[in-house]
Amino acid sequence: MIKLENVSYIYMQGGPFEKTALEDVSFSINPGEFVGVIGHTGSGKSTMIQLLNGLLKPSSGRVLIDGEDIGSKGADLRALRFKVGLVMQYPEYQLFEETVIKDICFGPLNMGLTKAEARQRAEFAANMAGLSHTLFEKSPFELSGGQKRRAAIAGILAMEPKILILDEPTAGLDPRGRDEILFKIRDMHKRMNLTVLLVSHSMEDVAKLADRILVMNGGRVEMFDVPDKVFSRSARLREIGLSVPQITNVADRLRKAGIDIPKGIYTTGDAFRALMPLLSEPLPERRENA
Amino acid sequence: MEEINGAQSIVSVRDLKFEYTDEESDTRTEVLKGVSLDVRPGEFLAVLGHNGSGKSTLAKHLNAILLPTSGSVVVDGIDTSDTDRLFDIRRRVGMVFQNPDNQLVATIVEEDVAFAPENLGVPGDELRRRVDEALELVGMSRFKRHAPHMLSGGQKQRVAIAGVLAMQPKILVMDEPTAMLDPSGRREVLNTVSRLNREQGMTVVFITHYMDEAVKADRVIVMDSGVIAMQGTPREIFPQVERLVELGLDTPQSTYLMYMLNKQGLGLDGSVLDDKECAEALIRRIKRKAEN
Repeated sequence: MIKLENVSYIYMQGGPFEKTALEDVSFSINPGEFVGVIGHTGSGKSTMIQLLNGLLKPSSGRVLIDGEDIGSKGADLRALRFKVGLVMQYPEYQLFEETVIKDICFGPLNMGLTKAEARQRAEFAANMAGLSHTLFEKSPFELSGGQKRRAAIAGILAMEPKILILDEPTAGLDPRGRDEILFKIRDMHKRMNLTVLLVSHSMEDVAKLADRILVMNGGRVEMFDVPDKVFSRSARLREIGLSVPQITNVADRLRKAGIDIPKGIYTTGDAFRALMPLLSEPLPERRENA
Repeated sequence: MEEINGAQSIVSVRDLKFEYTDEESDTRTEVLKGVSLDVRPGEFLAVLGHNGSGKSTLAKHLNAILLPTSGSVVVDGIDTSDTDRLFDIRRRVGMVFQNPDNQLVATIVEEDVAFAPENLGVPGDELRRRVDEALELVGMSRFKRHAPHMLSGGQKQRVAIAGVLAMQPKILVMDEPTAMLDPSGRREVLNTVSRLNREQGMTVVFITHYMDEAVKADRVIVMDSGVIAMQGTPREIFPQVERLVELGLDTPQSTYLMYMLNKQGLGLDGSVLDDKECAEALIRRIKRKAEN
């Protein structure tokens, strides 16, 4: 369970370049929940996720992970970082070992596990991330962009965090690479009962995956609600530099033209199901015998 | 598609092959396997393809960062393999890359834009005029005395574009300029580039992974395994959903919806490219059905 209570964060507090990145932010996230985090650049998303695994400490307010105040004096930040796995942007730049499997073992070894245990976890994590065992002994630098990204995610997963935070995990990937990663993240979430925070610029992806969406704007929480509620406010989303999925716009236009379309259309599948009854011909009436 | 007269094109690529040798393993990799392409002056050309398909390698041939292993690349009448004219080529073809932070060099926006032309020895008055114009064209004039690192991603990319424009190029080559931006940053960059193309007649070669950006182009080419696998107008390309998926790409949601509906035999306009066109086609059909 993640809980933020009136959290503010100010960079270079007291200095001439003082800047408030987060202002009085409060929310809580339930165990096993999949939360999408959206907000334009500079909205406070990155600061918020760095607070969650103790990379930053709040200027005021409290960050509670499983009831423990991580800003308190005695807080065990080392244990916290194993509990909250953070996959940063472009994480493949952090791969450094000679082989893929050694790289994935790095985290668990750091936790003090034996080599055998670390290896076991690494293989499981690699499998969850969709990396074939034929790649284990290769240099990370021989992998494709999408494979590197998945190796970096596996490295975090191998520490068996309870909470997985991913900062734009599909940035820079081609459409197939994007789909592969997102499919794997959904799979991990379900099979490992992970709490997931997915930071993304893609409204389509967030709409497809998230139970709830946290919208950040100007260092504050603008909305935190189920996708239906968030995307029903398309005008406000546009105002704060975001958008809604293209297909949601199609549904809005149909509704404006007086066509009865249900709310909550975010994927082409949703739209297809809503439209088929309106478009398809009714079954031909049985003709009387001539 | 009609034949393009080579003499009229501003970029002319003929049977371009490019390979490199890995020194350690002594293996040769062929990245481009015979690409021929003409770009017309004032055209907005989008280049699509999965990672590793060869599109960035192709782009780097357009301003002689890379030279062909065989075949030729001619830009505005100059063969890029003519190393004596490297300077003329670089001045004609401006490149903008993915990461804005790697492209900005100065601590003040207008100094950054002035950097390249100043190095070329453009005199003071002329330099001032060019910098002001370039910033005006990308809509960043009021930020000219700002520090680049305080700008948003979209604004940084626009400054990077201004830096290229100050060189007065004839062609703008952009390699995934929106990949690292948020939705509003992406809109800013795409609108800026479309406007430069429309109003200034700038020739644009735009590499992207976002299908809804490629929709705005006059023509789309799709690279796969070092060759051009598909080319045509967006309206010709995007309805070919199955082929695009085969090539590791996707299609705008609106086009995909029509594809799904048409698989059920509904015979709707499959060539719609955005939400407006899609909604209009659906509304027409539903209203007509209601009247019957």
